[in-house]
Amino acid sequence: MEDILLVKNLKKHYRDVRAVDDISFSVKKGEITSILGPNGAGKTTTVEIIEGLRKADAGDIYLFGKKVSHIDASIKKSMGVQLQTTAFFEYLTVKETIELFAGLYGVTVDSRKVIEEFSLIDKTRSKVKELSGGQLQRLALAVAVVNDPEIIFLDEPTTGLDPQARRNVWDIVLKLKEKGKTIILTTHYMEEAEKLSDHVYIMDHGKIVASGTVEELVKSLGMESFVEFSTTQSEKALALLEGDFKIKAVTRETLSIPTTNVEQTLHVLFSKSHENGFNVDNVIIRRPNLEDVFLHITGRSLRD
Amino acid sequence: MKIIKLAKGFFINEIREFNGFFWTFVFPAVLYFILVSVFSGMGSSGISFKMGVLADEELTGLGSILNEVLEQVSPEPFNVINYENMEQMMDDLKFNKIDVGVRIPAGTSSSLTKSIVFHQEPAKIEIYSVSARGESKMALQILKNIFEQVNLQIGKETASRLGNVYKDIEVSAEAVTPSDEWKFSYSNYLFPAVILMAILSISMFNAPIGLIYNRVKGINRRLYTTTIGSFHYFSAFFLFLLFSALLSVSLLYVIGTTLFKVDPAIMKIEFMAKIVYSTAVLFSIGMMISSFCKKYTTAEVIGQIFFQVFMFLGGFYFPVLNFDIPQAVKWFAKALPTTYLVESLRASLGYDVYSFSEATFWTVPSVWLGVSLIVFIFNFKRVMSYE
Repeated sequence: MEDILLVKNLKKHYRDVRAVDDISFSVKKGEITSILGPNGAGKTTTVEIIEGLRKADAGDIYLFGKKVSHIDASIKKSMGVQLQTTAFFEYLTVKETIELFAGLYGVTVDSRKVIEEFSLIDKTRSKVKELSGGQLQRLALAVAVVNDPEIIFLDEPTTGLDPQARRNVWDIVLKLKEKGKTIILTTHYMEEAEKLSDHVYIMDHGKIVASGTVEELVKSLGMESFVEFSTTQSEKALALLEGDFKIKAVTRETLSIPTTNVEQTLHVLFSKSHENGFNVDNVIIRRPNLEDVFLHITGRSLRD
Repeated sequence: MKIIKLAKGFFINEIREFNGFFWTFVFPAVLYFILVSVFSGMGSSGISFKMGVLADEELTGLGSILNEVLEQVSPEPFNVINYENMEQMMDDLKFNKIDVGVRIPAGTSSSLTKSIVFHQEPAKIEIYSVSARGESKMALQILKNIFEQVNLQIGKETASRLGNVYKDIEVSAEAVTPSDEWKFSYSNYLFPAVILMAILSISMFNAPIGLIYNRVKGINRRLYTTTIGSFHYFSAFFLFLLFSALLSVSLLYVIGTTLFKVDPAIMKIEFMAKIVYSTAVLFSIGMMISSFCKKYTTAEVIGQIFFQVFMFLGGFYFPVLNFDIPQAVKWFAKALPTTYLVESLRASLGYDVYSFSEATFWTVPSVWLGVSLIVFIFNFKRVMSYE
């Protein structure tokens, strides 16, 4: 599949902070590519440079196969953007907002159809200020695609939403992919990247620290599973099991053991708990995820 | 088309907000009602000053024209009180019993005849006022204005009595309200001020606060991800301001013409052109303010200061420069664009109270316009919060 976007050696700094530190990546047409990282990793700065909202200090951007030095109107015509902070005219209705943005791209849309598509039909005549967080994000998505763009940038589209609203947004994003749209998504939610992404770039401190499909990234950890359990004597358990496993404390009462042999791990765990008298509760066996990848690479949690 | 759509967006967003609607459209109209009611009483268009008249001789011949004039200006805007001696009239003036004193010296009738028929030196009429009293100064200005019109009227009447065509006067007289219809009307005097106040409100509040709000809230950034550029943005914003001003001014025109019977001269192109020019000057100042403020609360405070200073020291409601105020404040007032803009509009209605030249009307505001635009253009990127 052809690259719709290619970024080479992109740099951006603010005083002493290297917000984007010499990163290169590509995005394939029709895929959902996620840039995953904690707050302050440089995700937003990266996409805003590509969107034309910020200027890069160095680096090249190739869009639709052509090198671009300035993101002008002709390029913006093929881009859809949903910014991290959703800001619209508060006193315009949903319908008016969609029609206004269509007009700014010089296109006309069947606003009713768009409103239906983004499940906002009962809010057609509601003012923007009256919308809930989820409804506002759906409107932001509707506005991002109002010009029928080839490539769509979604900057943390589900931040601050409740689980149901988050799932609604995910459904919309997957529908857009089905329509053949290329989507670049920034997020600090591991589940979001796992659920939606064809390809993931993990960013930290302005650098891309890992990339690949979710499967590839997880495999790179070299382990199949994690055995997690809770105990009221976590310090004692940690000390007793450290010699056998690379055990880590997830919370004050929860410990996690990475393993390639679940059966043996469980056997050792229960033997030691029986012999030494510490309790083991809520045992969970789970596959590794992107959070583990991030933790493995940076030594920190995505939520830190 | 993009510009119009965006301007429409700005406008709808503004008028649906109570604050925007109230201050832009309702407040100027309400203020006009209040001021006219307070100063001249609702339903009546005139106010009355007490004028003392001392005639040292009985006016005869062409001099009797002056008697006719004095009868016509009474009881509005002047309630005439006749005096027999100068000392009494001056005492009453000093003790606030009259607002202005007029002395018609001996020989006025013959001087007037000589000046009209033989084009000799004009007749001299003495007017006395108290400089520390606003009403007295205002009465003086109005009286001066009346006598200027009397000159025209005399010219016209003389020409008809002598069976001649008094050409110079005849031409000028067309633009001037005939003295027998002239009345000082506070609603006329106020109309230019209220018009400018409406535009000032849009310029000092809607413009800077709107621009900064859009920047701070991220609306500008959202708009800039579309295909519009800064040219579209500012053109649309300017168009939105212009349309708001147009609606607000139109509403005042309707109120002015229907309820307060404001002078029809407000319909003249000259008057309207001056409104457009005033709008350009005040908008540019509003844009300049926005380029210095990072928060809209700051813009609100600065806008408020400019608004009050421009309005009150600019002489919107009182002829400030005629008051006994410190010289420094006078110079400050003279440096304000609104002093000239409102005076210029009043001049078109025959209600100017200062003696500014036509050139001054344009020069000072033009300097403000130029400087504001230059400063705004240099600070342009700050306004847009753009790299």
